[in-house]
Amino acid sequence: MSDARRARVLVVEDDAEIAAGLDELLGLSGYDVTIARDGADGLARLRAEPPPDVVLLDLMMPRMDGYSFREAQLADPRLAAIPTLVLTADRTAQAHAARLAAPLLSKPFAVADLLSALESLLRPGPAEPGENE
Amino acid sequence: MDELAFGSMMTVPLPGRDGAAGALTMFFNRGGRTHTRDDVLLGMEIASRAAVAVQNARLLRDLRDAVRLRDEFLAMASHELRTPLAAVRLNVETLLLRARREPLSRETLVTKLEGTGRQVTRLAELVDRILDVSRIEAGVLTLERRDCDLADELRGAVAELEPERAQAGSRISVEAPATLLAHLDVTRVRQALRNLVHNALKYGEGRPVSVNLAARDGNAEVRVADQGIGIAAEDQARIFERFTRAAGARHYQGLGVGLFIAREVARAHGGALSVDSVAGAGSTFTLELPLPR
Repeated sequence: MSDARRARVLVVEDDAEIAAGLDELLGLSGYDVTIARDGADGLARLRAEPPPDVVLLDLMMPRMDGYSFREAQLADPRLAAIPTLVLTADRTAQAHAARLAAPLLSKPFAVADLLSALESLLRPGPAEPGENE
Repeated sequence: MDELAFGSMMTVPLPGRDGAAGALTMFFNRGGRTHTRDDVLLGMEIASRAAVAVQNARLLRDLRDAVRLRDEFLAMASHELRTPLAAVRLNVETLLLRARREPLSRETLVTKLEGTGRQVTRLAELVDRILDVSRIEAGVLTLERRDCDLADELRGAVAELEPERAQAGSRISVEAPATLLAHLDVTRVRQALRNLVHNALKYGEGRPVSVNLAARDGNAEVRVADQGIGIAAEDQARIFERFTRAAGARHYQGLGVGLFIAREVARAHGGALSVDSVAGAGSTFTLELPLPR
């Protein structure tokens, strides 16, 4: 990620307080933040131009949940490579990690853990394909 | 049957707790047999042992169902508690991050602490609801009745749900007399009213919600109607059971105990809670509470 512009983060989260909290935190940390209220809204914003550099994804949401969002994202070759971090309060989600094909961070998460996970997603390690798990 | 080529048969009842639970038929392949009293007694002994085995299998199945429901509830409760906890942690840690960088204005502090306070209230309410379920199951839901104005309580319950209403994007219209005097456990009834209105907002797909209060046949009747996803006929009895929801758990948050608590509160007052719904067209819940004569 070049420092020439702020990295764009798409936050897909239906809980208004958590979305507002992430908006503030990520803004303070130098990111450009877009909030989507559910999976369907998130997908529309993911397809918008310019696409985000990284996605923060909740799982349990009305209209379209995080699993369906991820399925649609992975099925679209233009969007599949956009790194995604799943944020979830569902302790059983770990069992579906393979299907989500994305790293998971459990709620309630520490802000420091979230920021370092985001950084590592945006700055992929030197030639370590498939490290994204 | 012909292929079995049996010569005689005997059918004895399978004893159950409330009369016969079924029947056991025994076939004998030797023809011309006359069943003696001993044969019948043997048949009945086999039947009573078989009945115990069937009963045990049923108990085990019920127990497994109960454990599964309890596990699902615990997973759901854990999810529900983690969400406000995540908001609190995010708020507090972000505030700390800011405070380390710059002096914070009083306004910022007040806004942030108010938000955190709301989440703490949400957590406390969740814990109360979880405890309520245990209390109801243990049969110790006690009422503390006092004279109150139900119309006022209803308007209060609706006003408390303003944040949920704003998030859902629904309009709520309340039609109620200026006052309706009743003798109820105000905290419990208000909780039941909140649960009903909250559900209407949650499953109402942003369409208008109407809340109606009237005195009818010695009862106070509260009707909460939405025009949302509705409930399929086959799910309408199930929604009042604890830990169950008709709507997919992957899409809707919640413990799945709101209607269970609301119905138990209604019953404890000698009232009732019923539903009238068409899938895809919306639901109307009617809460009836006896009025003092």
